[in-house]
Amino acid sequence: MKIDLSFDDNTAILVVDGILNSENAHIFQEYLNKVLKSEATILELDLNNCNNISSTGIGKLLLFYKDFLGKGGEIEVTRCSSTVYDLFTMLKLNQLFTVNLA
Amino acid sequence: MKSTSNVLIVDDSPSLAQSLCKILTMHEIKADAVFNAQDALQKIRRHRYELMLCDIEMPGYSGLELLERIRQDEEHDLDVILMTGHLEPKYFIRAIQLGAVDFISKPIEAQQLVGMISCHLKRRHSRENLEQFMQHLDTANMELVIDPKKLSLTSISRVMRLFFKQNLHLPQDLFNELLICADEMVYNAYIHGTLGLSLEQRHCNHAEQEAIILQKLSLPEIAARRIRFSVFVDYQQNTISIGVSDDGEGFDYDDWLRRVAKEPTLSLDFYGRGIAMLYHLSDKLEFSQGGRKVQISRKLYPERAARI
Repeated sequence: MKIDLSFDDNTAILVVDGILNSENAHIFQEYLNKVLKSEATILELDLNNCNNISSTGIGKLLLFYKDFLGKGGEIEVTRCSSTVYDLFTMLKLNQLFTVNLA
Repeated sequence: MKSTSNVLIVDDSPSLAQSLCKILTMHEIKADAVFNAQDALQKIRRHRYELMLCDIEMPGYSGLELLERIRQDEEHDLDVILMTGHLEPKYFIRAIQLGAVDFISKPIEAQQLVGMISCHLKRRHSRENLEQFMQHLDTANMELVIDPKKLSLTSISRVMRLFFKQNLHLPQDLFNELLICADEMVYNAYIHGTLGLSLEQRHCNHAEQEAIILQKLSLPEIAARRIRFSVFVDYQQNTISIGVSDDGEGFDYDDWLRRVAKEPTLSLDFYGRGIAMLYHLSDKLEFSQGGRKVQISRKLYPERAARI
């Protein structure tokens, strides 16, 4: 798995490449913590090349969501694969934030 | 030469890439062309190529960076030939370290290119004969007993990849879903069944969690526990089963199975997300041994003829 984080004004752009699972979810969490500590109020999550996400990865995202929402932040999944889209729909994450299919 | 050979050509010059494509096609080597590394990654993810012919100097990601990305993702078993006008020794060494199988200088001479690609495809097909033999077995089985103290050294995904590489060529999406299932099952057996971490302990930061895990594993009764992981492929039945058991206390799985069967789109609760995912990603989800064992089954291919 590879993660790229960049900032554009108040927007953090996080690109996840590969499979996000229990073996690397803590690395994902480290990047989310960087976003939380920044001035960003919008997180754009690009999951187009993320092949799948385990429940541990989803858990890290949900923990971040609660904290980010608390500081007035918003998440948008700008692109995701059909597999990840189905997963987010199944877990109703699309009710918490916008999830766009690539 | 097999007409099913698949080569991906990556060069930022569309005219060159398309010319190379035509040359290979004339020699019955099926080829696709893309003009940047990003498009190449997309293609590789969605299609099983045998060989990539890639320019080194490209705008954006260079050929070496593309190769590095491909090697980070172990699911891509792809031979790579690099094309270059000039290659400095340090880049040459890096390319070898990243597993480039050959180099060809620009300007490219058609016969040399065809000869080189044919040679690498021939070697590859010979290597694949062993895999084909493995695929014609009636069943294949792998059983591991894992010491939890060593689990951090073991990547179950890597083990699964090795096993699958020898025994199966699955569509990428199915392969990824099975990897996620195995990850869910082993992680649950480790975190819940073996270590018995509380909700708070599971959600503390990584360093704190590592310290808690070390402390738990120093307790003899926890260190003595084992995680049993098995994969069984039944080619006759066209199914794969993945099972994981632990020496923990188990849980009331009947209640969870009832909930998840009633509401497969399970909630965002801290509990149950993993079970919902296993239910969603498998054809059959079963618990036994008081909840200490979980097994999923999945059809491998829509039709047996789809096997490679």
